[in-house]
Amino acid sequence: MKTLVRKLWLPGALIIGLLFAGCLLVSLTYVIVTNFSFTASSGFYTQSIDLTNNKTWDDNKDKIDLIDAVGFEMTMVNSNDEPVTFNTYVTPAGTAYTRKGQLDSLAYVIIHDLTVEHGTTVMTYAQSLTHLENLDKLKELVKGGSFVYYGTATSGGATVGGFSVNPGKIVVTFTVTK
Amino acid sequence: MRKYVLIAILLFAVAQVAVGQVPRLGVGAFVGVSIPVVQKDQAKGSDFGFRVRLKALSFLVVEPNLEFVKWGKPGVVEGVDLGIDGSKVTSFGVDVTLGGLPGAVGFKPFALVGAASYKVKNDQTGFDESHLGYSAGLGFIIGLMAKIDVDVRGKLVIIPTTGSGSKKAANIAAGLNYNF
Repeated sequence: MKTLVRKLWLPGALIIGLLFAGCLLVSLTYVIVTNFSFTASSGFYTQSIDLTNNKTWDDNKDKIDLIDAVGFEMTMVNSNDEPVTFNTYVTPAGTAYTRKGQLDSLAYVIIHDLTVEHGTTVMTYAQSLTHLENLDKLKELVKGGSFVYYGTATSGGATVGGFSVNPGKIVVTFTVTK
Repeated sequence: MRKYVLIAILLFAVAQVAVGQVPRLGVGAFVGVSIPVVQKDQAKGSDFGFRVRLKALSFLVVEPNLEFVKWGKPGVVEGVDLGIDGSKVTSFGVDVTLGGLPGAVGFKPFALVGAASYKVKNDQTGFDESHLGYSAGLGFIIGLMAKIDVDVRGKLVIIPTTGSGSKKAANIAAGLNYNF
């Protein structure tokens, strides 16, 4: 028996090593960060997001198997005296909505009725994960590489200025197979 | 997939009884580290578990096992502190070792292959996938006496995900086995 084990030990180890060396080359999980900012002051914000501007994404865009996670890091500045209600939405690329009513009926809300107090508020990536809605749709749009990101700031039901997000960061975790 | 692994374990146990064999039996517990491989959203974490060791042939041991891995926090990525916990990986399955027989004193190297039902979950990101995965590795057992073995092993684990991707990790663990 000992002889048999000795004979099988080395080839067994080589086979296992080669098997895993091959497998290790085929699948990786990346995290990328894309910056954005809302600079308008009318209370209605829009930003086209193109992930292909990120080199890691662009190099792997045809090999993406899975969007593991999507989240945001945002520094929000509310210069109004009163708190504002912040909503964000996403749509497929190419839309150009101009009113909150259109977003409420046609877009996918991903952060819903977040109250932002006067001053500067930072939403961390981990905190954003607790607010996200329509996550499956968001992942689907992200996987496509480009989409439109909308935001509204309202007070008393009307959009208000004096609110900005700068910087904003979209954090995408994805798995590729090569 | 979990039910197939469970069925395989049960069939093996039944087969042992059916042929009237009394396999050399051992039980063990282990702790160690799990190192995610090419996963930028995870960091090195902890690993512990339990196994039963059944000597099936004169050179082969079958090991039903239960394993719990908790990967570490990923830290800062491209200037963003993700601030989230690593994923948890729970598995139950069967490893087969070539060598490393229980019940003998001395140094006993072995190679292993295994299959298990893996569940990878992260409550914060919502990632939750369960699939049949595979592992292979090397190790050695030091038989301190007939009933007590020190068991050290490393294995690479491949857990398929939706699509054709996978999560991989290197698990390195040490433990004690008690042989009946």
